Amino acid sequence: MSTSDHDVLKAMERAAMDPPRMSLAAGSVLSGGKGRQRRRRTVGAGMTLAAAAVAVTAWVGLAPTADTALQDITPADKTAVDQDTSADWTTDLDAPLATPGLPGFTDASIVRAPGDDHFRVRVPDGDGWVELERIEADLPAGVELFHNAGYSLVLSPAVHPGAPTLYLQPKLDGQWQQTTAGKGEAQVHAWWVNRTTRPEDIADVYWVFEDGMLASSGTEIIDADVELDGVQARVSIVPELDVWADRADPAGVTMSPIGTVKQPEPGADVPESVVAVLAGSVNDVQASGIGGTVDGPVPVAFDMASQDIGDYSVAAVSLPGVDLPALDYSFTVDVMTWTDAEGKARTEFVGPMQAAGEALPDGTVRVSFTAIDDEMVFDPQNDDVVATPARDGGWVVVATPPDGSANADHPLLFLRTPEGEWPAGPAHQQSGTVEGAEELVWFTVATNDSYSRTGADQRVRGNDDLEVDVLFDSVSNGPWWARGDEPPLVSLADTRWKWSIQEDLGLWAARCTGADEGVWGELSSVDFAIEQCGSTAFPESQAYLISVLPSDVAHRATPVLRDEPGVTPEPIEWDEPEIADLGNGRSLFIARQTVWPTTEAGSGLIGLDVDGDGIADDDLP
Amino acid sequence: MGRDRDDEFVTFVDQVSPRLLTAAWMLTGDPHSAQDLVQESLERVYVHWGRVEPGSRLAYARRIMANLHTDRWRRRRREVLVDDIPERGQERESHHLDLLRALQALPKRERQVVVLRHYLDQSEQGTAEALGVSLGTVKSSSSRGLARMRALMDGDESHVNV
Repeated sequence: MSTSDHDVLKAMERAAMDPPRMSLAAGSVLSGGKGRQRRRRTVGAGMTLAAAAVAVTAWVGLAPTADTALQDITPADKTAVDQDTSADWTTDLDAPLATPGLPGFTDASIVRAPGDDHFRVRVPDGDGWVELERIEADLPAGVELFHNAGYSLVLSPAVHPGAPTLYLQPKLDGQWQQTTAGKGEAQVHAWWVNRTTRPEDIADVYWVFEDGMLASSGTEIIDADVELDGVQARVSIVPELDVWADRADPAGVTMSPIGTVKQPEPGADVPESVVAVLAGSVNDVQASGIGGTVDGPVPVAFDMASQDIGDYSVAAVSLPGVDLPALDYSFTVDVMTWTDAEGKARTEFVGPMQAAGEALPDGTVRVSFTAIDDEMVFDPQNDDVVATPARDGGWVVVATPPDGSANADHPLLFLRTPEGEWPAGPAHQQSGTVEGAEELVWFTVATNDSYSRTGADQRVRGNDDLEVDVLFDSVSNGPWWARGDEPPLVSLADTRWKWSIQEDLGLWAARCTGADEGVWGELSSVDFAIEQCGSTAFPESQAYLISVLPSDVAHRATPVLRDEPGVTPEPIEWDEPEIADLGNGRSLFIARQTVWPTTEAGSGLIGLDVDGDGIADDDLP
Repeated sequence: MGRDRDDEFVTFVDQVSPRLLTAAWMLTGDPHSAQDLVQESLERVYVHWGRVEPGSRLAYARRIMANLHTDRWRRRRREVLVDDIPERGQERESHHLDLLRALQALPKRERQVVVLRHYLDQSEQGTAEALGVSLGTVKSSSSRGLARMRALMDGDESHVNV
């Protein structure tokens, strides 16, 4: 007898009566809510920097949108300190150095005697100690870099009072934690980074004061305290790097690219406001976005006050006058618009731009972008992808799967610049369903200034030669079905996979039956993905390593543990890999993981050895 | 505000979390993910606690949870899932296996609609508002979702996923 809707709903009722054991401690939620309330959110690219002279217990992500824990900034006066950061070391230092969160060891010590020209750092090694490798490099004054087993340590003597912040190049993956060792004149600030940091990755160490910032490198910093529309903004700009920070940010100092908007999470002591630093002189600045409310999404736009600061402008608006009570967390500034000194309209995309669609009688769809007061007419019968330049040279992309499937749940945008790279994945993506055309799925992408792929920035802004492609992933059709034939099905390792190879893009994709989404990789390297078929709720749920490799390489490939920064690998057991010939000299490689690691490290533990030396490879032989 | 507000919030969490946890479990298919989802949702409710009408707080929490679930766009390239493997052989899981498998096989939007509409007993309009979609989308997603679940629970997976 076939299952009816009633049976399905009854099954839900039964499941709801006997769910797995789950609980929340209300106190923990309360504590988390209080912490969240204290923090401010930074929108757009940037790196969060700790600003404290105390040990930090949480890893701070280097990812562009990472949060950091609230820390107290000790107010100090920039103008009252000696700006010469090349102080000689005159004291004896022999102190323990905390290693918060570093797996594998819990002790370290730091030593420096008067007259020594650098620090020495020791960590346990078996029954003894080993000294970290010091990297000789031209670094900002007083800053030193050490490497060991894939992680890094950055040190800076406390040449100033107050709070230093390390500024690493913002595109780096990884995390760091900040701590201190020693006291008084022998105090040292330390940052443990869970990756190998190159000297050129260290942009600077900034010292935050009540009235400004100082760079260890001596780089010029523009400091300005402005009050705009009731918002107190204490802005420091580093022209050489085109980044800025708001020293008034109670969550810690965040270095963000010019054009980035900072928007607070509202709290009892934090006024609701939006602050931005823009290039050049500006007029008619407006921040627009969509706020999610209990009653549904609503478009919101704010006029912002602005003031010139040298070659830059600060814009701000306080929001208490706006009817915000029902706005939930999802409200962010999506787009900034203004008029530059030449009277030209400018746009800066901050987040996923909201759009509304309307099906027209002739079968086309009008997509309206409230934030930029613009619209595009899209013909789903004939157009796969339509890209249009925005006012500032960025791009807006609208696409729909050719068969109008509403199940295209994970579209991926690929942009090709003249440099020939395909930065993968849109920075700002939004999707929705058009009223009156239920089966139509569209999404918009507002390109910001650049994408990063394998560490290389790809500039998109103002690039007239941009090529755009959109690949759709579907639960029912498989990965990237819209760009060619129906993805073939292959059964391997007791699972079924649909796969797709796009030779012209140099990419492959695969999706396991039952997986939430597909995975993809590059054909030109030893690239792989970890796919989980089904859900962790099911006993038979497993992780699978999947790759598409040249057939001769696939037959000698073996999953191995990588030597990752700051991670002590735990054994991972795999079933014998299974391989399917896909034709054209390529094979699908799948290995099922039978024992899962329990380390807290979340990624990068696994690699593929394709040349038999037991070491993970990145390049094809 | 302080303590009174906090006490009120804690009471709210105690009251609503069991049902939200179950809904989140159905959305995510995983109790640990469910706890994370509800924890973060309720933390965000706290931030706006004083500005949301008391009668709207649960709806507000549901909406945030749905938004967060939508936002969790996971890229698994080079990522290793690190949770312990779920315990095997639990009687409870065998009871719910078909249902959860069917739910997890749905596209995210359909899964959200099915859970909000049919587990949290939201009206079609309420579901549409919570998810920020049209009424028509709720109707079609609900219909499609239940049809897929029927097929899956009948064991006809190929009809659904391939």
